[in-house]
Amino acid sequence: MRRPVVVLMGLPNVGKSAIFGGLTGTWVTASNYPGTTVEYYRGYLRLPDGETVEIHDAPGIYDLEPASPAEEVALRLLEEADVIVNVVDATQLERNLPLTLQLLATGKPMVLVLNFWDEAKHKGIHVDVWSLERELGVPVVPTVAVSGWGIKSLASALHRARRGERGWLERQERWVRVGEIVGRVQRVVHRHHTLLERLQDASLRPITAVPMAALMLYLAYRVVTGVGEGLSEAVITPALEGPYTSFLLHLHRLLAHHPILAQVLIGELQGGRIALEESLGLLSTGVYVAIGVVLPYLVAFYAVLGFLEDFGYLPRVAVLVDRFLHRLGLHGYAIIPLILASGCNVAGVLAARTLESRRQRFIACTLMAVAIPCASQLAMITGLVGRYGGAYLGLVLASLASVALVVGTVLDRLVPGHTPSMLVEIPPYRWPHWKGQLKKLRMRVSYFLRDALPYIFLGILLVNVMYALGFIHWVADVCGPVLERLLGLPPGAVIAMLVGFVRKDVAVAMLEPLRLSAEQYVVGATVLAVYFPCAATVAMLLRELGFLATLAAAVVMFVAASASGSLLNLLLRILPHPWLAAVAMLAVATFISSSLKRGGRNEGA
Amino acid sequence: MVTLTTMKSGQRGTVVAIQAGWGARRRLEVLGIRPGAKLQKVSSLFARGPVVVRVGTAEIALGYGLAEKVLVRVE
Repeated sequence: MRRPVVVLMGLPNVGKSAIFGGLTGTWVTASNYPGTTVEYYRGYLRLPDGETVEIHDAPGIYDLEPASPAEEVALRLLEEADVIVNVVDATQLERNLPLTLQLLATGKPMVLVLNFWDEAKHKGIHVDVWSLERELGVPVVPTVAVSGWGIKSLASALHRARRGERGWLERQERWVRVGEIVGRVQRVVHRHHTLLERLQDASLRPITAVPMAALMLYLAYRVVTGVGEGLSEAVITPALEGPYTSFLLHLHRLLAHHPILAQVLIGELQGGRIALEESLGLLSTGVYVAIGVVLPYLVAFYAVLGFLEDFGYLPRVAVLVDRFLHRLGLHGYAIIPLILASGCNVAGVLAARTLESRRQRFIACTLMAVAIPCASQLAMITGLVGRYGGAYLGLVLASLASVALVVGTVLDRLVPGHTPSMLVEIPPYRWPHWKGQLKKLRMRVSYFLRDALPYIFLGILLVNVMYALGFIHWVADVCGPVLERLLGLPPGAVIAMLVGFVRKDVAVAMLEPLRLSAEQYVVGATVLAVYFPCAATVAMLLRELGFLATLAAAVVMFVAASASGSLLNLLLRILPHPWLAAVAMLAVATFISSSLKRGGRNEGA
Repeated sequence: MVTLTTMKSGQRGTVVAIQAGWGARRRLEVLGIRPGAKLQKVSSLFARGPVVVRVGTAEIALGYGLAEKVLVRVE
């Protein structure tokens, strides 16, 4: 016999994922903005009477007619449900109840959850639980999902799930009915504005919003680099350089009779010593790149991102950048997938599902693949290029921004379809709950260790195999002259390009042994970021966009990489300072972008 | 009568009509922006940026193009 299926349904950002986590003990990403869940998750719950039920966490929906792929996922889940748990934001009863009435009309047994119960109290909103139960005819359970309060009562209320008020109402009638219910069960007491609410208003007013965003970006940058460096210098580097290298040397001696194994695991010794950056073994360079360089920054980056997500800042950034993103064929809300992509492009491509049209999803995914390096790639670039000074690092970022601007404008003109105006709910600021923050950080870091680490090792292994087969020399002979002439890079850079198909952070690390100049590192790092995404991202692009669109995106990437790399190489030769090259790159991109825009308007007129 | 874009920040009003296609109207309706609804304009960003309004306790951001299509009678 099949287990009863319980589906969590509700508007976006009412806390379904937090409730799911509480019920099942598993954890899925919950954040303070609409559209965090784009897939569905399944878990199990043993009821007090010993029966086990299957719980599904669905993406949020506004009503029973889907407007995006994420909403379609939710509606398919609804059909399979034996019991519906309708999660409702207690602070916004009026907005939530129209969906509740629609769900009741499906005739399935239901339980209503009033989440954010504590916040409703703080805001002076009192909901009479008993009256609401009487009005709707189903059990009503108040909860505070992030702290776990009320989850037990919800679990025991599940077998009291009932069919409530029936009958399908037309939209107009539904609103009248909602007004009636809210009038009977809700009382609002006036009170003063809190500090968070004042901050909230300030972050949307033009005069204060821009400085606040700049401050936020600066703080985020300082915290990420500060914490990253701190972790690296205080904890990880001493451990790797002390006991770990002695262990590797010891292992190398033990493997004296297995030269191939020694080569793969540890690689070449440099003057009888282990050089973590250059030995190219799985346990030397592989571990160094993953744990020594990438991990500390990744932890710091995700700690900051997690805070901003749960605090509710990201939708406000969407409002700020809406105008600019329209220039690139997107609207403001696309900034959220783009920000997530700066952690990991795979997560970014998945989050692009919240965008309404296929056109927007294609543009957003292509943009993140060409112009947004993931956190681990950026950590490597910072290590490699940053040591020559902030100007060179700034130049890499300015080049990527230029690529984004030009590629976005071109795609906006070429890709058919339309981009609707942004329409999005701005959640209130909420102090993040430390438990949720820690779980989120742990999940993202363990994703890196579990799913990304094998690719890092695969990349290093690939380098070893290519060297062993002499393949490198062959490719270098063929592609070397092109690389040399266009990008000013030595033929050896081919190896980094090839590894880049597997994993970008390793690819950047492969530039290190080439002993390049600062200018060459800049060109190499930029081209590596633009020309093609890593294997995991490609797999995700294929799944989300299909083969043809991924191919089209790949063509865009290749053109963008060759053009930006050549231009950058040229500019660095004729201009005396990296800042000047950065300004020149941005100027060229702005010029191309605005002349394309003007061309577009003339055509329309 | 004004549109959400010409309405001043801080003003309150009642939605009179939404001059948009069926799809856009429905997207607005589920967020509570429908004829008869009371709202307050919170802010708007310069250079044809989005407009933010407060409906009940919710804050909603509308792109400029959409905000132009919402007609409001100011109180």
